[in-house]
Amino acid sequence: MPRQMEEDKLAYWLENEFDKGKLGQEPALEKVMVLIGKASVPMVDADEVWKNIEQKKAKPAGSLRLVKWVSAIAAIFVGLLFVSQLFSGQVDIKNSNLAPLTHILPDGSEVILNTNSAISYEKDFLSERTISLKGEAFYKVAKGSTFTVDTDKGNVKVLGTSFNVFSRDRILTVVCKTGKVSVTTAKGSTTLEPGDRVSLQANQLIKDNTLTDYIGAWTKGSSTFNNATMEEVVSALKSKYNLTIKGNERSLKGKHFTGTFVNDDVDKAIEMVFLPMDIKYILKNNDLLILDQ
Amino acid sequence: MNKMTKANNIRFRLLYDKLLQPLYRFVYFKCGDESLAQDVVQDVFLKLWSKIDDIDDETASAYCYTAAKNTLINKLEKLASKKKYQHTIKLDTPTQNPQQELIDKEFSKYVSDIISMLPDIQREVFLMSRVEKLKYSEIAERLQIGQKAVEKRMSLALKKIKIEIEKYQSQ
Repeated sequence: MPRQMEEDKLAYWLENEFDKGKLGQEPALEKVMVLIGKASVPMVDADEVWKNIEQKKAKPAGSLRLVKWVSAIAAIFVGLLFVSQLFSGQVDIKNSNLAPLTHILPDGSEVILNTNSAISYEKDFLSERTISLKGEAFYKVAKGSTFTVDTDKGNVKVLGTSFNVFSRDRILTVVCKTGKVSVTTAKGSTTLEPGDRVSLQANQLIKDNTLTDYIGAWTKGSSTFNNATMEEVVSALKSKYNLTIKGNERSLKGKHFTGTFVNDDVDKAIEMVFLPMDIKYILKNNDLLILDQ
Repeated sequence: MNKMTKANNIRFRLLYDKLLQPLYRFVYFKCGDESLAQDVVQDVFLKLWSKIDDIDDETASAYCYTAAKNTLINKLEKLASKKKYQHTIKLDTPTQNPQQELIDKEFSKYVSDIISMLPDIQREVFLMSRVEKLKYSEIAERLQIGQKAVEKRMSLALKKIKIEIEKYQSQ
């Protein structure tokens, strides 16, 4: 069959006639062949491919898969973490930074944590607004059911108000800025109104006043004290700057401090407290405070 | 066993220089996808490296083409939708005048479409022959088929192109 033969011969024709310059026999095809002859030959970027190969050579396939798995598992764990926070009993917030940390509670109340302070509350906060405190925090409590702050030395109850709680070492000081605050300790209970301060120190419950302006001033970058005991001030310094206190602690006894120390410079802060109080000290390594006679 | 001996590194580099582009074209003419083809050749060379101690230079070529074919099949199977091959003829010689250029452009688009619509095995042979400019015997070796089979596929492709072009020219 002539047609069949023609078909079969096209490949042959191409190589032996067209390619060898014998034109005019298949004009339609020739046109296409000329065009295709002008086409650029596909090429890959040899350097790029080599680079990719070298990279993967250094990391054998096994470890590549491992990396993928590690990140996949990490993603699962992050998911689990969220889930556990959703369902587990407790929320723990800790501030190790120099700067104050603000945390919003489920009821909209605000807690500002000072350095080295921690709070803890049940996930199911709204039913019974109770929160534990270690360290110092300033609270702005939204109106609602009784709001309780638990410390290891006593607890503070409010309805809707703002107040400061300092609970470190053996000192508990609660100051009321607005509203009404009820404080209960082993050494007695009391109710505070704006400006009222109660302090449990050396096994005594002492109530006095302070200017409301000073209350929670530490949340704004410096720590302010109004006739606070030196023990309390040193305790605050110690916590803010992670100090170890050594030496003669009796040099602090009976002394009261009214003033401020900065929250971002340990040298300056200690100077601001001790210089006016005329108490000698040595600061070593920015973290060891030796009190002198 | 540490493969990274100096001898192995040199051998590997030499094989790479020799086989990269032909292998790339081989894969490219099968799938028409530049980045897919690049992925495949990368994988093939990594496989070659992993076997560098077991493969000598004579068998390396055959090994690579076989690996390339299989790697491409595997990757295509993984792709959600099998992309339809769209061939584009890239012309690298500029034409003399703009009118001619326009005619060429239209014509080359038409030819590209014809080529794209060829059955895979015919198209592959056609491109290896006319773009890569391989001899039928060389094509036969790369595809691991007989030379007669190559010529048959080529003839069928040419027949189709001829019919389509005659249609175009009668318009």
